[in-house]
Amino acid sequence: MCATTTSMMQEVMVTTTTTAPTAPTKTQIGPPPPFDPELAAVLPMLADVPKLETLESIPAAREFVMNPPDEDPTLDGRYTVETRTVPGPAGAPDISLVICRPVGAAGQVPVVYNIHGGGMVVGDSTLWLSSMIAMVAEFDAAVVSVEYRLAPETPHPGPVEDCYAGLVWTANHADELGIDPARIMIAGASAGGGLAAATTLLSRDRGGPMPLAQLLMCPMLDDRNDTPSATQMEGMGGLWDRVANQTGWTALLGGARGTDDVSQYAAPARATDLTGLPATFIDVGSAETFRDEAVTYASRIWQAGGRCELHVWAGGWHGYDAVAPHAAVSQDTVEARRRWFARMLGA
Amino acid sequence: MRDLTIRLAALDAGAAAALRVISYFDELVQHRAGLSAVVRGVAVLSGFPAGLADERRHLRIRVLPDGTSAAGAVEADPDTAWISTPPSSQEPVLWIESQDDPGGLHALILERARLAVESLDRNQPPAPYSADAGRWAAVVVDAAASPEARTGALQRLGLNDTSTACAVAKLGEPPLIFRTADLARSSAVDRRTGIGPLVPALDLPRSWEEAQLALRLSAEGTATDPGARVVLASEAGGLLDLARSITPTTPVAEDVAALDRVATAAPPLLETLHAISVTSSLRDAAASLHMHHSTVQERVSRAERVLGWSTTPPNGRFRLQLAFVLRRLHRPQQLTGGAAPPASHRP
Repeated sequence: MCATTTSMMQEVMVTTTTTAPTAPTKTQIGPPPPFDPELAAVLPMLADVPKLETLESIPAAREFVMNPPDEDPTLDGRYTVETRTVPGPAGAPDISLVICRPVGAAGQVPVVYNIHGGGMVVGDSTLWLSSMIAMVAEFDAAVVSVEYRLAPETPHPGPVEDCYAGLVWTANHADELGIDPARIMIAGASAGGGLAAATTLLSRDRGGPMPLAQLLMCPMLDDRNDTPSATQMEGMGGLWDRVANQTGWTALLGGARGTDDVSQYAAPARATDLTGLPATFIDVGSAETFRDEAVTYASRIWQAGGRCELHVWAGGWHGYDAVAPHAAVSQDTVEARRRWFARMLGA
Repeated sequence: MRDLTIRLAALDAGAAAALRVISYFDELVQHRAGLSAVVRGVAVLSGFPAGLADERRHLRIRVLPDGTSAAGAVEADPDTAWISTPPSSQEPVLWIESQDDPGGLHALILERARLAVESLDRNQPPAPYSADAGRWAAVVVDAAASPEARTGALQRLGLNDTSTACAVAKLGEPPLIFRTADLARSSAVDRRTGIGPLVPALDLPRSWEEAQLALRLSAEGTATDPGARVVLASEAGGLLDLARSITPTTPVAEDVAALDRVATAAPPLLETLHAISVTSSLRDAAASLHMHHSTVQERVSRAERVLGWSTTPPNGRFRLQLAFVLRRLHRPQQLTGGAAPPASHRP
């Protein structure tokens, strides 16, 4: 896969849409980019995954078991796993954190503060947790995964405030946890990527703990849900499309979704100031609804003078790397993140 | 969700697992995946290491159940106790490193993988025209689609901006795209076909327009509709202009009505008239009809009485040829399917 070429193509797309805003959208958007062959072969197997067509479909989606049967956050005994209950946001219930620490690591270890995905409405702190641990195990990094409250029961700002409270607690208890507060990396996929970006903005603006780096995997950033990729990929690509995305954002924001009344801490794409952010890694598939908002976020970080690395993987649908980790493009995707971690940690 | 793609053997319904296996390898073939993707499929679907040995190419691939390639060269021959395709020096051999075959699933996986390798191995150009291709072809020939959209669709068809290609119109079918006129001609088997001129790929809308005109100039090649089934726009000359000028509202010429009268009065006469319209002598016409020339002469005389003019002088023969062309052009015009791109480019 040639990520560079794809990224360039995306940039062309962005340039086209921003310099010719009056051209009719219909003629600007072509057919969906082709899926990667191996990922295309997996797509039919996702037919049974419940679709989030409306708020009413959320309970069925929550019933669906998302984790693989062999999920093991101890990584065969290499990690200890404990769940701690810690204070939530002011006036809100406590939250729980799953804390995974490498067995026998010497000194203060780096930590990944993990925020799970699930469209703001499904999933829990153990979702794909072992994949995250496996990715950073070679650096003896700890992983702390936050159990934030879900929408629609908890609308904005509940979820992001939970994430922020967990980050603050983790930083404040670095000594106790044996982690290095200067090497906190915040990470999340999909809704978790959006919440990670939002938590970082919130921490920047409140003078909270500043992560060393943020890892935004196929992040859900923009409640407006109207990019060319959203239109192009509607109804395609398995797990998440424009319709599901509308459901997720509506659950979080209610009637405010898509209006001028949406906070940057709900939808980071709304932020007007993207300066002062930590080193950022963004990746996304070229054949998914979040492609353009992820590319735009990266571009805006660069334009603001920030550090960001963007990988657009040709033919990837939403969440391909987690659902089909065997595919060559998934292996390369994970490897690119792993190597970025290595650079961030100076390992 | 990985459990959707792996551990198929654990599925209770054998038929469901079998369907997934079949669909997986079919998709790999349809999307023209590489050989290693096929071997990865075998390993991931079976949950055991799997391999491929191709003696002709000195190629060996071995993949672990998580889809990663086994480190180092694969030298040893597969254990004879494992399940494998028949040993062969001509065909690649595939194996699963397991002696058990739960419910025959492993044998099924190997058989489908073998067929996939066979299909992918054939060094033949362009995949057989898939159902999908029609949609991309519809974009490629759509003058209203943006160049970006058409470039994207060209890539789906294995072409790019610098390719040359021609569009082919067939009754009731979406546009077909070929790299050469010869390939286009060989696709025309038993149906009326119009072949557009070979053009730079981005000019395919013009080739398609002329292909549709050529299709209107073609005939069924039967007694009631004699003439050539395949018409090349590049050989039609001014007839393309004539075809453009005949619309559904153009009154039907008296000479066309005269041919229809001949067809009603005595169908064999129509074939005879057509033969003399496209040959240079009565004798040649007789040869093409496998008739004695005196029989042809007798039929022409009868036909001329219905027509009311002589077909013998050059201008009479031209008038006859023109009448046949006009008769074809006056057929109802909704001839091709899928000429317009779908409102959205989705299945």
